[in-house]
Amino acid sequence: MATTRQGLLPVLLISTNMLPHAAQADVASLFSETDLFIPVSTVQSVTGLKQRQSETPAATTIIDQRLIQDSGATNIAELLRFVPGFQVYHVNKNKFGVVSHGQGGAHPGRLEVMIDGRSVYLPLLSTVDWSALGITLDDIDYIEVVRGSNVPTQGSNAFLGAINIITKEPFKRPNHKIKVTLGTHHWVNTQFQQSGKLNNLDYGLSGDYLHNHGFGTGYDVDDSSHSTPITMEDGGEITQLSFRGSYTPNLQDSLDISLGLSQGRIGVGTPHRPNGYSDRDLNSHYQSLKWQRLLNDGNELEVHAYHNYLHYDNSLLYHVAADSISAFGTHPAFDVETGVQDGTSERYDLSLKYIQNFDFNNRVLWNGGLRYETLQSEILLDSPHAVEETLYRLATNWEHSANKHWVFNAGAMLEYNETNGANFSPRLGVNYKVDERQSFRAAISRAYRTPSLLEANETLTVYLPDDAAFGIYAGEPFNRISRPYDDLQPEQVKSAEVGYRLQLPQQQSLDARLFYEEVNQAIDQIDLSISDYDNKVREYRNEAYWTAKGIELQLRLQPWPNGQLNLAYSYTQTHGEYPNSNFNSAEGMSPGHTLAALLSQQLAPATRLSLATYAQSAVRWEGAEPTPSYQRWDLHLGHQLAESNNVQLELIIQNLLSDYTEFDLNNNLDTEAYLRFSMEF
Amino acid sequence: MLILVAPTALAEPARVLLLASKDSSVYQEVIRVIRQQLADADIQLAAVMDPNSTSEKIFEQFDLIVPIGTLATQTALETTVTKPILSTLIPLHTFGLLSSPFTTAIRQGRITALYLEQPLDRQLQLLKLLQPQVQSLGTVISDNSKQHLSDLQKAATAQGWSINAKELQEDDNPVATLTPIIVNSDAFIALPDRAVFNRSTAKWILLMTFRQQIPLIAFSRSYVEAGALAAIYSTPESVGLETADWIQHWQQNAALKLPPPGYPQRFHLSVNRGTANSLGITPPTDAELMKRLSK
Repeated sequence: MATTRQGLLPVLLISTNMLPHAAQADVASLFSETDLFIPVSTVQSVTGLKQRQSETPAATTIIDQRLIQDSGATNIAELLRFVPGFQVYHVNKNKFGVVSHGQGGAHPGRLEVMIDGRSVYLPLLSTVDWSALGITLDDIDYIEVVRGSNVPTQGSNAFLGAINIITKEPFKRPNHKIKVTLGTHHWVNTQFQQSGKLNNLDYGLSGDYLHNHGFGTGYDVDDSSHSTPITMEDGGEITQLSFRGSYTPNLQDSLDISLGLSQGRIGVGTPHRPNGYSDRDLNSHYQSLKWQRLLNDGNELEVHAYHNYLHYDNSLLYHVAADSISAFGTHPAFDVETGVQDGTSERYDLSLKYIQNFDFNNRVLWNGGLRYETLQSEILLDSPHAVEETLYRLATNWEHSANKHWVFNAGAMLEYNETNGANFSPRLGVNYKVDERQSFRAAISRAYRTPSLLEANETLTVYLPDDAAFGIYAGEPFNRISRPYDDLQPEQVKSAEVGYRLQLPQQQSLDARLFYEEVNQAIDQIDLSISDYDNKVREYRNEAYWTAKGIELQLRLQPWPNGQLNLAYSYTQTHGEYPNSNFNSAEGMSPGHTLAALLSQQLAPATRLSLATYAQSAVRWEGAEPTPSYQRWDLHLGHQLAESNNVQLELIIQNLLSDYTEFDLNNNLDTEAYLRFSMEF
Repeated sequence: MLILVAPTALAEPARVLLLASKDSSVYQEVIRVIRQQLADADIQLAAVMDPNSTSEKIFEQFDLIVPIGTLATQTALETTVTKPILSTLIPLHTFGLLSSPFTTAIRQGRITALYLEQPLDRQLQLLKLLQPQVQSLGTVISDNSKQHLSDLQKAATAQGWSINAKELQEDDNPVATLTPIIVNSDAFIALPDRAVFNRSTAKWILLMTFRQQIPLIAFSRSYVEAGALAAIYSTPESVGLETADWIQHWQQNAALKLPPPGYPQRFHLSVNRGTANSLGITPPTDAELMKRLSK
């Protein structure tokens, strides 16, 4: 194809000769300019093996430091908006939900979230606490997201996807760094980082303090005339400290130690009932130890042990006035504890991973582990005693590169616990690499999510006071709100996908995915009739089901010099039912369209401007009122004041235009502005 | 009797064909920069973005063929025997393989190349600026990079350093091969060689040099971002600028003779200061390093 440009000669194409056949060398095998200008990015979270994105049996998204900085994100959960098919929302000001293809509520639990391979999933509420992960935004090197079920590699919690946050190794951190962010809603965030070396130990230390006020004023859902404004008490204050150390005693061994703690308080509640907010105190810590060894035969061994501890303290007293229960005539007033986000959970996990390289075309990973979890919550379990569970797991993945075009992955996870027995989750994937840049992928899998400790054991009961006024009912259950169901089974998902990936120089890429997910035996709370105060009790049952199908698009482009565009879009069609719910509907709980787009431009060597837009279709999340569709615009302007010490000043404006609502009534996001200063020394 | 008439300086504007290996952003950038640099020159440029669409008849219309990249260079060498060729954006070894039947033409200044890599002595100079105490330098090679090794030995000898090098075959396990090299070297240099620097070997080299706490000098920015200490490298922009210089010099040369194949004068520098910190190195600023390397 000949092109002419201004000032250039027109080229006459007289013939399109075929090239002579006798090539002196096979050009494709020679080291060429493409080796230097096409990045070799690899991901590890899909199968546990380090693979190029063109060779994995699932679609992946990488969120790197460039994107994190350009987005102007003020918390970690917001970054997941850049994953096609994911939705992110504020449940309360400091409490977030992240889901894949909808079906979320206040405590979504179908995504595995890990930090450096350590799961941060909370058995206490069957979800993830995004505001208390124990790390800061600056600690993050990059985030690997697996789109679609990743149970075959990461187990039960990765039912619809997996997020692995990789923190920076100590040598990648600055010696000293401070960062201060001030913003609307009395937002104050101060962070520090420090790194150094103690003999053979490289370490990094970071700390974070956050304080903010809540969303402002709201109205009860029944107050349609908005006659009684109520202050939403969902502000908070959280302090976090984390340590990461890398010890390399010799050439083949390395030890990685991570420690962290989070303490604080945030306001939580149901947004459409703003009168019902309460403080939730948090105390959590973790310890992680990982040993990696390069074996003499080129294989790898890894042993990973970690411990997570979480304690929530939550109290919200509901006052029952004297003589208000007609069945008992005269009786004293009493308070009923309704703060249910209260208790302690712990997890101990030990895993052994072995990667065997048979030859240049075959690799196998084995990963065995056991997990011990406990949950203690007097209010959620109606008992002072803890419940516990031991889960055994064994995963494997065989990667076979048949030739330079075809790659096959066959993997499976076998999980066993006493309650649900054994579950086997397999996956088959095939990748066809057209050339170094283009590849196609097809994969099918079946996976199970075992019920969480909470789903299997929740027993919420209201007791009458032990007072003679209540006669034979003194001290007895007054209202059984929920009870466990003995035959609760794992959820199931069957998924299939086809994907296309185009990798271009300078980290540009296009990724398209068509997906189909069929979820059965989904766990939902249903009401059953019993004879008590309100004649009903809730149980978690396998009642719901849905299918979700659609398309995901991911684009990273440099449309012009010094410009960068990141785009994540998905369209999902969902059909299904929550048969026993008056409000929940599978279609309603899945927004059809989700979009995140970020355009960044280097204006000058020290100045960078980014404009982002996020849009989502209307949705009704579980337990919430319907929210309309929205589109939000954010601006981020960063300027390096001084190259030495990397002194930076940033202006972040979120939601430039009209207000919108996230997750539920009263979560009204208006324009928020932040000023951020950082320097290294 | 065939009389070979030496070409003389052109009376009309020179007609130069820029032949890209592919219609993608790397090659487009090189062409854009060349066009920008030669906007005021008495040179007429044409660009073809697909080597498969050229032919000898097309080449006949031009005074100089500038293939950009490996595939375009192969096409140009196979298509024309009369037109001068200035290959650019091509690694040294690859050009050497493709042009091996044309050594006479190279000697006569009718075929040449502007290499993609940076000269080894500049890379060693960078290492010396960052880590003056180096005495021994390690590397691994394959069949493809043996030429590099002899050049490296010459450059290292000029610094007074010794070389620890070993050949890495496809079936070798990288840990066993790399261990004695890395343990016995003060620094490691990564030579551009696809057979050596596939996905697993590059990872081992990064990991093991980091564990041994020796600096790793690489050949690309992405390697530095992955943890190597430093690299000097060409970019499409710097290649475009230098290629434009070479075209102008050719045009101004009365005999229209091309210079011998050579390395670029321009380069970019990347230093991983986190890695430097971990190695206990306090490198000069990038500006200072560039200034010293440019002398």
